[in-house]
Amino acid sequence: VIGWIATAAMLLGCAQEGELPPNIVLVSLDTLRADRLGAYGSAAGLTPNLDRFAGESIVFEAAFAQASETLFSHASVFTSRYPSELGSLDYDFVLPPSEPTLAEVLAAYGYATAAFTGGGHLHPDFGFNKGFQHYQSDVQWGLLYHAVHSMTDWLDGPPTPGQKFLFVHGYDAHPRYLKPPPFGFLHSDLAAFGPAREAIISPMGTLRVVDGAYFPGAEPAALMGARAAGLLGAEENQTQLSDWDLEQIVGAYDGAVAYVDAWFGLLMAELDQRQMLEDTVIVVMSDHGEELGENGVFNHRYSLSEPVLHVPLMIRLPGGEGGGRMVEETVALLDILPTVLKIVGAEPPALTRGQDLLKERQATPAFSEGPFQSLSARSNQGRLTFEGIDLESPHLPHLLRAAQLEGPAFTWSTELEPEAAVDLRDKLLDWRMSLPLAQESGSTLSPEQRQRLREKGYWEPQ
Amino acid sequence: MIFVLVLLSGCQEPLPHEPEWLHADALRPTWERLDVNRDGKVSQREWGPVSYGAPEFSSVDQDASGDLSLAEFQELVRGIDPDGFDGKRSKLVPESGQERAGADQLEEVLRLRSTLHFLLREVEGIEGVEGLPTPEEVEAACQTMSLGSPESRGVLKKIRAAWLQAGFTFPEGLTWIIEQRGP
Repeated sequence: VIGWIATAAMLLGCAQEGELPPNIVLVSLDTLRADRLGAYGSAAGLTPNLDRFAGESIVFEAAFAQASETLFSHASVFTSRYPSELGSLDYDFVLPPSEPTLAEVLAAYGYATAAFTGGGHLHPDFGFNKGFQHYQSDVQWGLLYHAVHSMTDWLDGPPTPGQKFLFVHGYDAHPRYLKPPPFGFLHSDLAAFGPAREAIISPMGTLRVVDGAYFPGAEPAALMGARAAGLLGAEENQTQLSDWDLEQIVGAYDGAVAYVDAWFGLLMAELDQRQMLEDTVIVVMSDHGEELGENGVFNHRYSLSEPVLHVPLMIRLPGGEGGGRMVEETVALLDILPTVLKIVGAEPPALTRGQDLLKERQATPAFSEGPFQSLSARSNQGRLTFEGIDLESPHLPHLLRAAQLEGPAFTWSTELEPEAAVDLRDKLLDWRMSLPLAQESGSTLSPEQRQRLREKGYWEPQ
Repeated sequence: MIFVLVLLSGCQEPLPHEPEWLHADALRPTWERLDVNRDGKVSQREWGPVSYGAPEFSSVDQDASGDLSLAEFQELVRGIDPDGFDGKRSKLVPESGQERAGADQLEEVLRLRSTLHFLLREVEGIEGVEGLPTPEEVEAACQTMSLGSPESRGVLKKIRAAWLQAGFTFPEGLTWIIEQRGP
């Protein structure tokens, strides 16, 4: 650990001694699980380009998102604050205008700031365009395909003064998983006739797979409501899926991973073609993962589980120097902002929660929040999650302490020894009680944005 | 001396930039994965199982060599607009059937066409295989937008017979469709 910190400090020291600070490129690969990357242990060969990038980067093996949704997770990344400090975790959430963002700070330090996003929850309606001089989100639920084309158009356009901060984002691994040929059926069987194929091909199809059955035509939100009420069995129109069917659906997700990897490789080629790899820091992350049948769903918004919160996080320093190092310590996505600002020699905002990833750091669990009254803490030893607790209750400390750590009602834990679970629970409680929670949500969404969310299977704003 | 060297190095022409991350390299692993028999090219047969939603092979195989080169593959991946692939835009919209099917039904036509053509490609050109459905029959089946329609079942029956002639095992799911709803 000391070795990579020393190397990173040396490299960054060079940049700070009279040299221009580096360009910054932040790449967000939406919904990408860490365990799909070869760099994170996968043997499936889905991500040759990301694995090559890992060889040129510092790889954070135990990086965790602060939320299970694009909206809240990116809000945390952009501000280094926890989502509930910024607003209620519902779809009326808007990034508070008063909250300084990474782009705003970099713009203040002379950076030309540009974002190329897939829209959806990163639409300007949610406030994410703050600090960006150019913000592209005109393709709804766009992919890296769109972002890379937009980015190259911008880079090849009129020159911009100052170093560049680029935010590049795509929903490639997000439902629906099916991607253009050959990726759509690269890891599943085109001849998979029947419900699995229908789930893969039809919009929102995988959101209609619950507890091993496919519910064609059902509203995903209503389906989850019926499940929560124990009424799922009463749904008339359902088809039981075999293990093989479920494997095909997982294979469709893997095809989407291969697709985003290919486009990530093309993105790197575009940057290299413009000679940007020698003076640019590239951060690659995912805002959250995805449950692929774990907990009975193909989704990410319903639980704070390991597949949803364990995400890739890699930092490539200029020229790929010091690359290939693996960091085992638990880190959080909200550590990105202070790290980037330290690299460029900028002062982080006062309420920054994260720590510099390239310095020796205080061991801290990664805390996460979900939209269904859920909290989670992840240490190096394991994860502890509370779900279905009234987080607004004045009796929250009592509720959390009274919760049975092994009970099925509203808590669960994984691979934690009892003592470690109690310790983690206390840390979670201390953290939560110390948070200055936002009192109210921001403004409401436009009718058009609500409609766009509904079309993608999101529930109505509360 | 050092000063002179620095001066000299400053006068030199900058070396041309040779990118290490190449566009072709980014797609090479996928292309090689498709090349199942490792002969250095992707044939139409190798392309079949992953061709759902793809343009006709002939339009992808630009030099009409019968195979997909890495350059052609690169052109394909970079050229397919994923929006078009969603069935909402024109890129992959077939000329026939569009008006009749409408935007919502278009995907059904595409799906059916992809399925039937995939099944056909498996047996086309195999010696001794006879009685394949005509292109007109296949297109008529596609326009019904249902795998269970009499037209589609008629086509499936012919294809199944061809598969059996070729010694292939016909997909059970399709046999079920033929037998359960048979004429």
